[in-house]
Amino acid sequence: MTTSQETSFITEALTAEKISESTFAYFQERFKIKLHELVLTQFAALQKESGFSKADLARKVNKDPSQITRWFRATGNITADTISDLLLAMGAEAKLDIAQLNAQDGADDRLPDWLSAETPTAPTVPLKVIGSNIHNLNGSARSIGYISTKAKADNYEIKVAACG
Amino acid sequence: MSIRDQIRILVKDERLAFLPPLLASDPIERCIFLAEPVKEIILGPWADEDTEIRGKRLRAFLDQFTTGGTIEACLVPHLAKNAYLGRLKYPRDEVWDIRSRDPKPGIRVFGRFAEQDTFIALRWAKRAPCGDKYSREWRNQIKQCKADWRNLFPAYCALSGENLHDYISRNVIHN
Repeated sequence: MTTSQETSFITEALTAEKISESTFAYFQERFKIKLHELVLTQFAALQKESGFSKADLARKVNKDPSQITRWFRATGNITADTISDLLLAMGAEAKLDIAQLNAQDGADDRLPDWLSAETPTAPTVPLKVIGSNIHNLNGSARSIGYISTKAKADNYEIKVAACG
Repeated sequence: MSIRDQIRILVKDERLAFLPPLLASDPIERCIFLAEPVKEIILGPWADEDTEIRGKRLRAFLDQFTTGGTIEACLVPHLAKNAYLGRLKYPRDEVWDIRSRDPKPGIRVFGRFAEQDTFIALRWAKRAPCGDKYSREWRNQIKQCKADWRNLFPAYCALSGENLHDYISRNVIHN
């Protein structure tokens, strides 16, 4: 799932004479999200601790609750001044830090543990029941009895799901 | 076979792609799997530089989900206009969208939860052409999303829950 494209993306940020607009765009968006998250995280903590609401926050900063909603809504709606005001109204201030990027940052082939496990061999085959027959994707039909016996012999499991 | 087995098969067959956070220093706290249409906008190749820039911004936005960042979410359709993530009408369809609002036009990534903290991103659309929340285009997106799911997961239903924590284990704010 890791692509060389991603590796070169970070390498480019570190070594290129001129960084591309798209690389700037990723880090700009990431930075805005992190700033925005400071407010959301502090709000979530207060909400959990004491039931603090958006209306409470609006009162503290002397703004309409709809303005709080707009600030919470999108990363682009909020300025550094506003972040400072909102954090202060929640009894906090931002603590920023710098993390040095390195080439390994772009070589991300990590997978969740469960995804790295061996792939099972029996695939799921979509079947559709029409009357007393089962049709597969190619449209060929077999009786329900045949499919059931064959599945058991081949160690398959038939799952019935009613999905929307 | 579990739904995780099915995901493993789909990843192996390259019908789904796992989206790790772009920076290896970020933790993987939640999972997003991309179906082909979403894979194109996120991972490229892109038709032009503007699309690439938008794709990279969207990637940063999705990384907020995968790294376990705090997000706002809403279970109730039509009330989720401020949320990062919202369940669409009808709730029984279990179709959700992730809303990247900046820059305009915003982008919606439609999908379903396979299990808690695991989102299958099936398709995407620019917000404006979809029209208002009752438009035919919205309904079509939801309908297509369900069809895409059936195609990938014929034997499995999408996750269905009563509260937000059934879908997102932590760092979620009710919209």
